[in-house]
Amino acid sequence: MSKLDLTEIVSIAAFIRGEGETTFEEIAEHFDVDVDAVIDAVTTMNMTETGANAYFLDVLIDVEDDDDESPEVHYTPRDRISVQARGENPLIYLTAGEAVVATHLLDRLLALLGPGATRDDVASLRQLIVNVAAERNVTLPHLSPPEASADVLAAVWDALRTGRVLEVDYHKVGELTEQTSRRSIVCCGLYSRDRVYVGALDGKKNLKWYRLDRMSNPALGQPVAEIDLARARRAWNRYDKPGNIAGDQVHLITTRSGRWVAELVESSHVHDDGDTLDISLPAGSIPWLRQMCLLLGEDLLDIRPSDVKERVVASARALLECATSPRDDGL
Amino acid sequence: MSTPREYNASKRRLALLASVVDQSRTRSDIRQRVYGELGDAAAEKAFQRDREALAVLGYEIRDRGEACVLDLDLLPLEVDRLELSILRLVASHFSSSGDDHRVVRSTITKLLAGASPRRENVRVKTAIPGLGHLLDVAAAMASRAPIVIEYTATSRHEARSYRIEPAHLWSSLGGYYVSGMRVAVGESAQTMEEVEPRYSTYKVDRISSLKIEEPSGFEPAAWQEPPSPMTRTSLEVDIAPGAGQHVIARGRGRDLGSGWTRVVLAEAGIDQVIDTLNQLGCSARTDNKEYLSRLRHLASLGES
Repeated sequence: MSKLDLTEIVSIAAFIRGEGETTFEEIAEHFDVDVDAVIDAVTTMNMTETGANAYFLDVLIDVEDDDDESPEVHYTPRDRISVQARGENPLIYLTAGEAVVATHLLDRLLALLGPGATRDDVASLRQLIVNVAAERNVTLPHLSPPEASADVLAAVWDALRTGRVLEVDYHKVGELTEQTSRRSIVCCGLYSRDRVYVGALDGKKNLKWYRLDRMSNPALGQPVAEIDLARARRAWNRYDKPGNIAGDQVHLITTRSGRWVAELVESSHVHDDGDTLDISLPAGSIPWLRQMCLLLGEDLLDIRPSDVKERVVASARALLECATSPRDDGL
Repeated sequence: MSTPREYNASKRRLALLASVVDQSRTRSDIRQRVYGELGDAAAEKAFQRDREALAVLGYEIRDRGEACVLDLDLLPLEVDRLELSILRLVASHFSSSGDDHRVVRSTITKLLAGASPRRENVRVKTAIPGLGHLLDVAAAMASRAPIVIEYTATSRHEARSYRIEPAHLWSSLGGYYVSGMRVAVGESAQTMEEVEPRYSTYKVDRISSLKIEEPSGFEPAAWQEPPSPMTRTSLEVDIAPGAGQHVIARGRGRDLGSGWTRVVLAEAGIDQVIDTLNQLGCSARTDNKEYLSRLRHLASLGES
């Protein structure tokens, strides 16, 4: 019996809330998961006390075959689970900062949820916090769309849950157009910060990070051998996040308004030249540097060294020519 | 024979918090309500310990004359039981990457309220951007109190001091920002001089120290669209046959004939627009003015 993960359990909570009353069996059928896994997840959380007579997941379970002689409660698939009013709804008192953090935590979950009832439920909870915070003059960030298409999100979760190879088209940035290749990867987990990355086993030991929003046409492949799954778990526990950009140092000369780029790229340095700034940073590749330059817009005044500048400017000219050419020309 | 005394610090702290959450109370009132069974000295010690424990969680109880008040304007969030479960589930999956701040810890502690559900098979790691003095900024905003910050701008090697009337807190590209009117500037807090108020934005994790001043009831500045690259826009892009399947799958696609697809990405940040178009390159056509203007600027860099 495999354990249910975060999105499945959140979906179950949202489902119980929507239905008002249901059974373990109905939940298992609705989500196409093992009924024992549902019983395990719901009962564990329903019995995890959080103090003040409250429980982690607070629902009533009507046990059909309750054996009064036994101190243990055994749930069966047809036991009814319901949401019942037990006095007033709980009130949580959050500071404004905690409201921001709670919203951010929900955002990280929402990035992983495709359109549907669960996403709507979590988004409405987020809106509740946004509204309460707004009464205290705290403006919270916009709600962002899911980080990938619904089929990619579903396939990534399936690959993680079932231990199967994920096959996807991966769209990398090329010099002048995208580079797409078919990849077969062993997913280890998801890292969700400002973007979502899939950590996948690269060879035998190391993790390679793939951007979730750059995947398409997913399919599930062969089951991964148990020894490789164990290796993937070890790799996942070793690495906590994607590494920094690596590459040769380049200098971006900007107006004073361009300073934010130094915030974006860790390990960059800023030299203040009065009216202008000299921001040195490691450039991963010409397309990556071109993206930084486009983000800077008119705040960018120069690029050094000159050979790197020539390559970036040449690639920008080629893109401009494409962008303004008639659509029928194709590539 | 004496009656065994129940010692439950968590329960007592909850009672202390409950007693001050809606109103200020005198010390004697608190002692009677929360520490009734303890002697004077023991009650005072327990009160101090509980105050410290609650302050760590973000609930600071301060003396104001004879009264004790909860010095935070808390947001009462009324959720139903299953919404609370969802909040707890998300909090339980937060995985620290070493840069977590006390406000993150206090949020998670508060949401989980001591629970620790099983965490096998945790396959999602989330991380919060650097928070620095986020909690303090938010608290000052809530009580309309100016703040004095020491701040090192990316273009400077030394911190300067600023007095700000914080009005908006927002996030972009993985960082938190505070915007508001800057009303005084100086090399240090002691040498600050009042200046013509100017709407300014500061990255929260670059604030090295922060002092909340007495609430002045200032009128918060109106929201101003943040500087590039944080502006939001709508992107309409035509994608060549066979290209950009990952973008088409996420947006609202319309077949234009001869294999081209038009996709609209609504409410995209300019960073997302550039990320998408820079990646698609010659497989894309767009008349997005902002993108084309930036591309022209880069293409003409160095031309006299």
